[in-house]
Amino acid sequence: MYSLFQLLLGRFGPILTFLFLEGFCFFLIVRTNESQSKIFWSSANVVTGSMYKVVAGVRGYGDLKGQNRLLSEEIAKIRTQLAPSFYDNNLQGDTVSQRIDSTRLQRYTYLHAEIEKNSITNLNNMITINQGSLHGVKPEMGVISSDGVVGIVRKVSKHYALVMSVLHSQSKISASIRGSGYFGTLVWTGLDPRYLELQDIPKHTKVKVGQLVETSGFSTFFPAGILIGKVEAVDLPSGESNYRIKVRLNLEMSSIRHVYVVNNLHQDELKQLEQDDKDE
Amino acid sequence: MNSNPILRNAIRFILLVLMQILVMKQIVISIGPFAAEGFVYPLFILLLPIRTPRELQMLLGFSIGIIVDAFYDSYGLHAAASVLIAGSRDFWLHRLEPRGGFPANASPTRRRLKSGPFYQYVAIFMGIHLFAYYLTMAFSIFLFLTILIKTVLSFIISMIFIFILMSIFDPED
Repeated sequence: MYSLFQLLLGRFGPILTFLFLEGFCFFLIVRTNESQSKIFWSSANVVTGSMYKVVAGVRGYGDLKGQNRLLSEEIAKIRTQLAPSFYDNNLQGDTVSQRIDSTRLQRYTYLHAEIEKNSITNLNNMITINQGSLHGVKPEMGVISSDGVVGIVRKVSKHYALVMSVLHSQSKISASIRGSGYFGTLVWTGLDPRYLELQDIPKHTKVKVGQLVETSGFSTFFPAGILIGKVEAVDLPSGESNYRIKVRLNLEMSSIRHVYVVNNLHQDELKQLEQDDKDE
Repeated sequence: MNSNPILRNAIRFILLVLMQILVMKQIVISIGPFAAEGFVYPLFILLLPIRTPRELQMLLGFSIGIIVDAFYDSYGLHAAASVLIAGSRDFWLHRLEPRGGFPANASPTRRRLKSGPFYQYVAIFMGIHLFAYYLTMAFSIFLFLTILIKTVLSFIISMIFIFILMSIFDPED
C-alpha cells in the first residue's frame, strides 16, 4: 500500500500538486472576487439550470399522481357546469307566462373517484372505487370516465362503493348511435373485454361501421351524449328484426384509474313518478 | 552573496515582494482605455534552482502569488498564474540544459544561460504568466482582444523592470 502510494506520488505528484494548487486558487478566485464569482455562478447556472430542468421533470413525473387527482377533481367540477348536466327549464310557448327560477337547472353533478380494484376477466366484473356514502355516493349512480361509460354503482359503504362494470352480464345501458336517434341496449356478451353488443336497433335503420355509440340519456344513470365506443361490426341474424352490433369500447377498461360518479339530482323525482304510475 | 541556496532564495522572495508592492504597484501605465501594471515578482519563480522538486516549485509559486494577491486584493489570481509557470517552466529548462547538466543548486540566471536564452526563457514565462493572469481576471474568453492588449502592455513594463533588475544585481545563482 505504501509503495503504491509512493509510486503514485512519484509519478503523478507534480500533476496532483498542480491540480490541487490551481483548484485551490480558483476556489479562492471564485469565492472572494466578486466579478469572477458572478461570472462563475452565472455560467454554472447554465449547467445547473439544465440539471434543474431534468430534476423538475423527474419530480414532476413522481408527482403526477397528485396532479392527476387535482385535474380530475377540476374536471368533475367543470363537467358539472357543462350543458348536458342541466335540465332545460326553459318553458316554451306564449301561453305559459310563468317561469321557474331560471332557465337551466342543475341536473347532474360529478364526483371524482379513483379505482381501487378492477377486474375484466370474470363474467361479472365489479369495480371498487374509493368514494362512498360519506362522499355522497349512492346506489344506482352512474360511473363514467373521461373516455366513456364505466358502470353503475351497486353497493355503497362508508368509504367505498362497488360498481357494476359494463363488463358485467347483467349490465344494461341504454345507448344510441350518434346522429340517428334510434336507441338500444348495450350488453356484454362475456367474452372479450374490448367489445360490447348493442341490441334492439331495428333493421330498417342504417348502421355503418365506424359510427359512434353514445349514451341515450333515457336512463337515469347517465346524461345523454357520453361516448361509449365505435361500431365495429354489424350483424343481422336471419329471422330477426334487430341488429346485433359489435361495439368497440372507447375506454380501455383494464387501465382506467380516474372515474366520475354521476349524481342525477332528478333521479328520485323520476323514480317517484314511475312508481306512482305503477301503483295506480 | 551568501552561497546558501535557501537563504538566497528567501531573500530574493522578500525583496521581490517588497519591490512588487512598494514600487510596481504604484506604476500604472494606461493607453486609451487599457490600463496595465508591471509585475516583477514572477522572477522569483523563474530564478528558483533548476533541480528544485516540481511540487516545491509550485508550492513556492503559490506562496509568492498568494502574498502578492493579499496586497492586490485579488485572492487567487496571482497565485493561479504563478502555480502555472512554476509547474511548467521545467519543460522549457530541459531544452536549455547543457550536456553535463546544470550544477547542483544552479539557478537559470543570465550568467548561466547567457543573455539570449535567458531573456527568451523569461519572456516566454512572463508572457504565459501575464496572459493567464488577465485571462482569469476577465474569467471569460469573450474579451480576448482586451486580454491580449493588457497582456502586451503589462509584458512590456514587466520586461523593462526585469531587465533593469537583472542588470543591477546580475546574480550567478
